[in-house]
Amino acid sequence: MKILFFELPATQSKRFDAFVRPHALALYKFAYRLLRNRADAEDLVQDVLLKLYPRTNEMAQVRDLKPWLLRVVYHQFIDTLRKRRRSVTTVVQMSELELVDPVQDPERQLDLAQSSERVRGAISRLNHDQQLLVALHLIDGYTLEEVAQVLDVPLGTLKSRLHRTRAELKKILQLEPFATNERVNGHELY
Amino acid sequence: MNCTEAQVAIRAAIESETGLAAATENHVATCDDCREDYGDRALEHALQLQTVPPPRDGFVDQAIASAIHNAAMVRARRFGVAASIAVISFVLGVAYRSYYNSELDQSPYAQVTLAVHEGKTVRVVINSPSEQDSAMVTIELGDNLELAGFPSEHRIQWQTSLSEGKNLLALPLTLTDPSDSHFQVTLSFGSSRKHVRVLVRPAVPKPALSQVKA
Repeated sequence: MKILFFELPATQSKRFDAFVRPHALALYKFAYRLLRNRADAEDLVQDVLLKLYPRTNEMAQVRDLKPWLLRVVYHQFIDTLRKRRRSVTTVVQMSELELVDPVQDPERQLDLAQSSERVRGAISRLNHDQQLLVALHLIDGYTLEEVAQVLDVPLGTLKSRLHRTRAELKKILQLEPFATNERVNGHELY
Repeated sequence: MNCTEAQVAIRAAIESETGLAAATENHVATCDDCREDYGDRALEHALQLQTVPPPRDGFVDQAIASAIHNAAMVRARRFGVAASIAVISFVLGVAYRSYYNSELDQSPYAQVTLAVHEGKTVRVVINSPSEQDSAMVTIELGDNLELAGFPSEHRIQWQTSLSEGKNLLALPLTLTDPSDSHFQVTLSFGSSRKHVRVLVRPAVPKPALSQVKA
């Protein structure tokens, strides 16, 4: 006797593709920010897409899909870490971000590399939550409302966290020409 | 120098990565707003040096295709197991003979009984007089009936081939409330169609022992 298998309706795979493809690179980018490694980032995104396919109908109901998808990536990242029994804070250091290469001049490239390394070092001195905020909001340009959805953190908390994070980064990077110590005085740096 | 002029000069200095001119520096030293602006813009500029290498070529295509393919395999495996169990041990079934002709055949209602919220596989045996390469199967479900793997979907359609003789279609169904329901399976081939409609009745709970004694 022949068994008739369910085959996936073509419309579902098309809908899934239409939902996730526009955001796939953003998901990868966020995964890379979290994991610092291309192969791991790709694996994380693949795992997320595998889990998302059966939720295609749910995705159709989501008003703002991008932060929703990023949140799924973040939760999958946390789950993966738990399974590996590794600490989040030891993994999320953002220390392997790569350098933009806008010019060919070797001296200029060296300057940029040194600057990038300096910024990278400064970011790595922030705590995990601050690093995520820097990656999502200050570097990748997500609005605070979007970041609040991704990380499931109240907007007010993010605003005050952003204020502290900016101040710390500026102090670490010595980006304020005068009296930086006085202005951020009282806040413990790492 | 006023604040507007200072902020223009600050942007230019940061973009060109040169230091602040003396006049701008003097203004910044005495103006909290411009000092804040300088720090923010310098920070933004510094952070733009951090970027992410692209994924390998074709990654997005492969990842999406893999997700779709994997879902198909999982569903097929799950369905295959359910069907095997049904063939061996499940006696509840609906069979009809399928003869492809151009007339619309409205089969009479068959009837099955399902316990509410307990998934059970209902099998439909399709006896095809010949091999068919591209038959279209459509399942339509009543509002309170769910097909496993297709939550909230009440019309599921896909194309399949049929072998000559018996073809088993196992439907893992769940009745979601204690009222009557129904489902319909339609087979289409070319301009011909064949239906089987099944009435689904909720199982009557067995009375508790105390009620029986009373």
